[in-house]
Amino acid sequence: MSRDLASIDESAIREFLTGAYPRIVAAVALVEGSRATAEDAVAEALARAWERSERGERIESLPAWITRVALNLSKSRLRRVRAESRARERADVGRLSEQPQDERLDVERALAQLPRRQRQATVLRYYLGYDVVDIARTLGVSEGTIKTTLHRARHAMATALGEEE
Amino acid sequence: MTGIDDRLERDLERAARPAAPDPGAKLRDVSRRRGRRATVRKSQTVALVAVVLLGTAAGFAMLQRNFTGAQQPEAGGTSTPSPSIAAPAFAPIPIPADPTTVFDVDGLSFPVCRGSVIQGDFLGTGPTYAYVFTKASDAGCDTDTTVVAVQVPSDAAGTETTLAVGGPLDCQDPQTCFVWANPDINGNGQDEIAIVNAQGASTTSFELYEAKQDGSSWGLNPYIGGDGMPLRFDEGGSVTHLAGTYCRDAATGRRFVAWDATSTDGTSYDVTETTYVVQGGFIAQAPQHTTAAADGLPPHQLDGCGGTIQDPSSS
Repeated sequence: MSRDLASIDESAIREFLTGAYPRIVAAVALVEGSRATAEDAVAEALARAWERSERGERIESLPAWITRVALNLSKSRLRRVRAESRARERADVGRLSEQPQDERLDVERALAQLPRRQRQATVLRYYLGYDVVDIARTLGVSEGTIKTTLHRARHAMATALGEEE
Repeated sequence: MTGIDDRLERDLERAARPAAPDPGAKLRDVSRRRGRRATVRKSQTVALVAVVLLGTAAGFAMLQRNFTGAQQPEAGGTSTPSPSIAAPAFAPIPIPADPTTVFDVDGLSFPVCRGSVIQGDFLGTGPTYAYVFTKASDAGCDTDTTVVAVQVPSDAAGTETTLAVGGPLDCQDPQTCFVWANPDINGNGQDEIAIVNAQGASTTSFELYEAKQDGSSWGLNPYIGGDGMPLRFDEGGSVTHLAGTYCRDAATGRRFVAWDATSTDGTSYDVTETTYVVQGGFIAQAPQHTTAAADGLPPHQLDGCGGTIQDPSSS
């Protein structure tokens, strides 16, 4: 899905929410280990996209832009504390938001041990299906850096999961 | 596709557990955030105008007072020269008033825009200037790439300079990315460059860069955390969640402290302070948990770190 940001309005946001939204929230949640933080960051990114479109600014792909901005936003420690606090206040969301430690899959535990950049690259590659070019563009680093990052992440995940490379 | 690739795809799909949102509720949430951002933007514009007007008035009043004093010395009195603020022997890079104006800088291979500048002793050799620039494109000031740069004296007289450049910076939005302060967080006499890279309604996030000499050249590097990523610190917040940073001088040297505090009633706060020791890198000590009243929260805004702090309107 690719949409010109200058045309983003309420219907475009609604279309995004019923389309790409769940997977992008899930991707950010995999990186951060917190669905509350992911939902907060993606909602904030959407508000910024909407605001930018009203100022006449453009962007090539709304999902890619939202992914990049949400991954950046979710890094803020303060944002994380606030989002998780709000989620706890809403009991229903609180139950859905955080997976109990003993119910987490091995892959989640292994992912959580990776440095942030490796987690981001791994989730973008293996969950969202991005190629190296798209990952580099999303994370704002060179393709060579992404290749190295993915190589290290893959090796670490294989070791942690007991898989052959 | 090998075993590990297949397994990562399969297991991440299971672990992700994507959940369809309630589009109506989520749309209201996004709409509310958009409205709040618009309000904040308007408030910032009003505040910016007020600051500029007040600054102009204050500067005018100060100039008038100084000139009046010079023309009418007190009879029989002696004048005490005010301490002069050391300034570099070289000129700063001129930055256009309009942040979207694209301009060239000697030492950079690309045009830039959205420049901000602060003076400090970033090389440990005397005053110089540090900058943040957004990389421009042929289409104008429309990229998300930003860099940090410091002017390095390059001749014996110290009047010519080259640029040390670092980055790209991890800016959330180039419009809110600027050089913020020149603290000396480890007390070694060499200022660090504090760069704001994200601004919320009430929270400012910043990173710290330091200049390091390698042979005859200088590099600008961020302070890195245990995860290999640049450390990011928060300042500000709301009555229920606050954060700040400050320096304290211990017998064994200066310490840099980042804290955050949460409260349910706005009067009593659970405070977590993390103390960093800068020794060939950034070393965090174990966080300390305490409780404090609202008027007993730790210092903030890089208190005790030296240097000055500026807001976007003055950078």
